[in-house]
Amino acid sequence: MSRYFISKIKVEGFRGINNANRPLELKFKTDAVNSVFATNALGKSSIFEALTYVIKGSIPKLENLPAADRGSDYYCNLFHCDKRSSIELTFNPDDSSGNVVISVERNPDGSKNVTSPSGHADPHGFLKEISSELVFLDNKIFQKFIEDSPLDRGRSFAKLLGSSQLSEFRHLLNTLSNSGNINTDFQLNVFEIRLDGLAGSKRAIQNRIVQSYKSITGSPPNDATDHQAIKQGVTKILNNVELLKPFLKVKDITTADYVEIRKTIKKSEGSEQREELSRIIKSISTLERLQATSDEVTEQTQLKTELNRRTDALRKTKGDIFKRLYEAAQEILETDEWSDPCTCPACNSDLQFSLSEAIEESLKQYENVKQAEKDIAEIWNAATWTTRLQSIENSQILKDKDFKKQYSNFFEKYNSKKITVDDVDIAASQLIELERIRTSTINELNKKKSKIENDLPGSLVTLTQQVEYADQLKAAIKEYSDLPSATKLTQKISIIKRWKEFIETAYALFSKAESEYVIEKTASIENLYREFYSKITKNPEIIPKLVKAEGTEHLHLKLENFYGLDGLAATTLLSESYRNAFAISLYLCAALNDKPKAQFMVLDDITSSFDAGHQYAMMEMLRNDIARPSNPDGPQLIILSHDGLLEKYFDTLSGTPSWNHQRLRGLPPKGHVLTQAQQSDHLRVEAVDFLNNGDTQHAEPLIRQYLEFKILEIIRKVKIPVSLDFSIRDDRKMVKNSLDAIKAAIDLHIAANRLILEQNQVNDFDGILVPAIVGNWVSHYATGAASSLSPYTLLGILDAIDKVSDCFKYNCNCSGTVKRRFYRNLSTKYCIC
Amino acid sequence: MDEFKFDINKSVQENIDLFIVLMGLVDEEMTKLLVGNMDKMTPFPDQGPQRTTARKTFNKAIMEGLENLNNQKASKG
Repeated sequence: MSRYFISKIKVEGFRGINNANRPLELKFKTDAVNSVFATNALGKSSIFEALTYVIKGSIPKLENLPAADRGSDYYCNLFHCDKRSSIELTFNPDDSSGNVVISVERNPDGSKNVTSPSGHADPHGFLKEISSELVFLDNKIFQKFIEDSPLDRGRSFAKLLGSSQLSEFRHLLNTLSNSGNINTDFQLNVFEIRLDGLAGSKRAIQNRIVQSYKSITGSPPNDATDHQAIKQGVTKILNNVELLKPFLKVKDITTADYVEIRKTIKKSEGSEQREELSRIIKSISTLERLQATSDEVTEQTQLKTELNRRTDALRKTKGDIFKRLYEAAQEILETDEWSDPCTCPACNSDLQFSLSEAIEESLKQYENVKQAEKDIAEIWNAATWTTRLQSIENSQILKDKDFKKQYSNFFEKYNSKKITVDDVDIAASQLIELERIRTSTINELNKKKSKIENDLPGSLVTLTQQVEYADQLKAAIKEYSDLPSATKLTQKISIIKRWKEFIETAYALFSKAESEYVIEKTASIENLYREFYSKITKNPEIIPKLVKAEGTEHLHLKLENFYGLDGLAATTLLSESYRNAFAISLYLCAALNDKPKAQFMVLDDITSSFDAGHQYAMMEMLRNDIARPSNPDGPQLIILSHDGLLEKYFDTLSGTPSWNHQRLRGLPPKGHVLTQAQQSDHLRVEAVDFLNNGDTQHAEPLIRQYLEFKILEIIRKVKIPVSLDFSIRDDRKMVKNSLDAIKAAIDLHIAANRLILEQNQVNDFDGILVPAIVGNWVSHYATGAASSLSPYTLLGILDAIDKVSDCFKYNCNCSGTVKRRFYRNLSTKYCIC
Repeated sequence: MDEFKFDINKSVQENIDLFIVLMGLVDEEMTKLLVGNMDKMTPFPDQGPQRTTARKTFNKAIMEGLENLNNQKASKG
């Protein structure tokens, strides 16, 4: 995969950079450290923000402003004529794939267009690909890292190590493997209750079949599940009774007409007692069918658990009117109507917390109530005890018994969602009482049945019993065959359990591996961040240590050695600069360990808490250990700074192959911000414009600046030696001092016979151009008498300034075309041209 | 399988891919369901109703997938 480096940025109309129709253009070397210096309020932060805006999509500082401050209004430069921003970034790859140019335009209405003038198919995807937590670093990030809670710091660190994706995946698996969530989302409990109820019903019907068979035949069936054999056996026995033969000649006991059979028996034997016996046998059978078929106490407990959960969730809500309020507020916050989550949209109060999160939390409680009600309904529908309660209360056999019906009231409460745990307890007590009545009634009926059996002739009793039990057997066999198949339910439960086991295994394996990964990763960078820390602080008496608490996301900053003491907290003992050095070391270490490798990093004033010595140490480490080209796998560094002392360091390295330094000048936010290279050209163009319009008054200050720039450029490019005073004091860099320094250097090289300049260049500089510029203009300008010069004279001065610069250049043909290039110094060229 | 470890020299995505391969050995059909529906859970919301909604949407899709598996097995006899 290609690594991309930033080679150019063009900015217009963004933040502090106006530059209408003349974008600020900064070129970066992809194989060097790039530094940009600007004194305060000269647009340095605007460059940092422009890069952030393109790559990250927004500027956190503006997005986090209170809504009333309308942060989105401050992206575009307030003085730009079109109130429109445009930023263009050019990225160079480290391989043969082509450059990628991404252009981002922000319109006055806040909308944004992201395009690729170079033709990249997916500019958004490209920007996402090159973005990481390590691209933009400033002092605030380091301070926040130090001051964060161990949990937040741990999470930030996971992102740095690139393991936040692992952490997120673990959270996801944790949520998915949560038993409560699985039971709720897959209704596993409900399906299990249904299966249990079905099994109970089967058992109960099977018992009735066995009992009926036994009552007819006198012994239990060989195989209680072989309903065909049972039917045939009973039919055969009943076929031996002469009276029943006509009914079973072509039918079996399940198809026989029992109404006709009873009529026939009644005609032949006419007896009220026999009819009573028949009724009692049916009643006993009916009541026996109302026995419990599953674990009713468990069902009741499940219902009460869900009711308690609903009660708890309800306690955390504030009723329907507040729900409507929260929903309305959420709607407002989710639209563009209100962008500040920490300000109340009703009264504009500063809340000091995120209203969105608070509302989400409140609405979550209502969601919990809804979920609990859904679960209650599922458990209710699957329960067998409530059905039994209703059936016993409505049983005609028990209608004269002494109890008060309660099911209707109970169901009404359930239906209106007002059912409570107390209601369940009352209904459960009612069921216990009804069960007592049911069993006692069965006992009473059995006693009556025995008495009638004793009073009636044996043959009649047997015939009556056989017919009634055969009828019950028929009903039981039909009920059994009508039961839904348990196979599908069993398969459903089985595959849900398979998923449950799978996702639990996934979570267990993943979380163990992730925990070990973070610990190993933290340990793997220990030597490196300690080395970096030591290089910055130069203090061997302090050794920092990261401690990751196992099984948590907490990360502690400790000291393995603090002047002989160990295990102490770094945040409480280290000075601000040392704390920052610790954080910087970790971030840089993470950048080098980034996979894929960090491509570029933009560092904004990261040494502001350091003194000059630590700044120097830090920069040396960045240059030698971190950045390209010293570290070929390291990132391209772009360092932004306002620190004057640091600029001396930048100046020293500027021009070497491994360092590229630029300085910003200008007058933001209304005027232009320009680099040195842009500035000279800009000054000349503006001055010529004024002169062409005859406006010498406005042209002269620009000509003066142009002259100063060009002479200082000669000193810098040709490495003219200057005094210490000249080099560190801007007020000493006057035209005359500069020209004197150049003249002295030329004289010295002539005396040593080492001057590379051609004779005509020396003559022009010394004999024609400098006298023309100084004599005709500089001295007049200094005394204020220059206003008498005509525009043509001043155009001539501009021409002379360019010729002065040309006296220190030679024709270079290295690239195949002739280019004017500055000498390396006064005694050598850059090449052999 | 208890010895499964992430490799600190590999990228996070490579490690996650390895994990998916491992889970495929544990239960290929369930792994396909997990991977096939992952888009419903990513990016995983930090908290709040969106997270619950994402989970429910994901689990609903998994339930449909599980029922399809049962139906396929039933039709194959």
